[in-house]
Amino acid sequence: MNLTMGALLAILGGVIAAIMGGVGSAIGVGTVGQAAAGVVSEDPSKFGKVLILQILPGTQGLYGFLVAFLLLVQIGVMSGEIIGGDTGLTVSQGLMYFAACMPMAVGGLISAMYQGKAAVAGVGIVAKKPEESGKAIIFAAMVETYAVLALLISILSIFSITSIITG
Amino acid sequence: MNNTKYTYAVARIRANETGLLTDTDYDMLINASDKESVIRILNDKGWNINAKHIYKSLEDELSKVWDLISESVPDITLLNSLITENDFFNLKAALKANFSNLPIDNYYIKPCTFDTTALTYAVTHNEFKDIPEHIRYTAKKAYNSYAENSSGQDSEIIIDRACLETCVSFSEKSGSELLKKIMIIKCVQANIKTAKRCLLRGKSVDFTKEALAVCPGIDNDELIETVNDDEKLIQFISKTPFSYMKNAVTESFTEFENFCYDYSVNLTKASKWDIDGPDPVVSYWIIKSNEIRNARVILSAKANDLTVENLRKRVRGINV
Repeated sequence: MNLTMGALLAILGGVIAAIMGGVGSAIGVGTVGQAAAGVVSEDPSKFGKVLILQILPGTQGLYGFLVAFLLLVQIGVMSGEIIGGDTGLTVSQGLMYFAACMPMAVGGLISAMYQGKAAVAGVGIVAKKPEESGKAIIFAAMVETYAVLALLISILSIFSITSIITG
Repeated sequence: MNNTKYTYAVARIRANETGLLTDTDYDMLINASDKESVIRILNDKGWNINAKHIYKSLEDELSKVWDLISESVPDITLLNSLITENDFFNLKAALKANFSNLPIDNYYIKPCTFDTTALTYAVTHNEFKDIPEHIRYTAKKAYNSYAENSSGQDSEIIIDRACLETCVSFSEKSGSELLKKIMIIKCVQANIKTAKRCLLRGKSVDFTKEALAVCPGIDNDELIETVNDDEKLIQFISKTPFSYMKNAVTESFTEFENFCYDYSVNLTKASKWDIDGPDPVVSYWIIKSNEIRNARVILSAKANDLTVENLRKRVRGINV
């Protein structure tokens, strides 16, 4: 395995995507969990409805993990054979991979936190008007669009960079 | 994300808001044929009113609300401003009962910020070191005043002023802009009313100055100078942050009080959709306290055969 500065930068990008997605999801899920606990302590029958809202901000952590995993596969860390031939990944190639991970890292962190806030507001709807819980879920789910877009751009970038490097 | 520490509390409050009285409920209560019907309607809404101990039951309802808030918020002492008034009421009651040789414990109201047995001990033994700091100095001063003068008037003035100043001071530390605004409005309203009352009763300027609480945004000296002339008073109020009160200050005490109350309630509406922070908790307390006040008014009215029209004027309705 040829561990160059380029490879290090690429791995760092994947790690940051996984960490920031995870942190965002932990904050989002934790915040909704507090609100959900408040509602369930008053009315346990609403557990199912608030649980769906609590799960929603958890996806960004999963997306961050997916991006990091794909990156490790693409640059050959998982197979033990880092791409880039004898010289390994150059600094500029490593920076390209690093940049490819950033949409998921930043988009994941911010979208998970804001999705958490939207879901907390949704928990308020479930508390007062449980029959409107579908709408509450839709409002929170709308934020997911931007996490999905960030995931797509990160994945497409990683695949494109690999095909450029490997020809 | 500092406000998220109130997320749990706000969610619990939202769940409880479904049990608040609606306009339809108020119509039913006002039009109820008798006291028993009112109790039945309230109990159907989840209240627990015992027909034999109505006022005690209403006090317990308020204590339940305070318990809910205490369990939900991260630090209840930050919201003590909401119930500090009861501490000072209890102090007044304790002093009056003590100097009239009556059993003190019968006159306390709840909820309050500290154990009333400490207050009973303090007042009966003239020993105030074990009661909380916010009331200790006032209690000692009011006790001495009561002991020196045959009437409790001076003592009450000392307590009322300290109560307002403490409420404002606590609200400033609460982190709730809403609570701060409401307490300042309450203080300004009390100062204007006190200044007018002192004028009506021919009290000296020094006496009036001593009776007015120090309140941010209003100069008490100027208030005393202008209170005897409606036009000057309006001009003075217009220059302060409370210019919205200018048309109400010259009305009767009841109308002025209702105006200030309605204004405060309107302020609570801004937090209707907040998902965190202390403001929704403060709003719920204010709305629920008002509901209990309204229930007391309706029950008294039904017991005294007050007409529906007269009762409707006395009930303050709120929608959430």
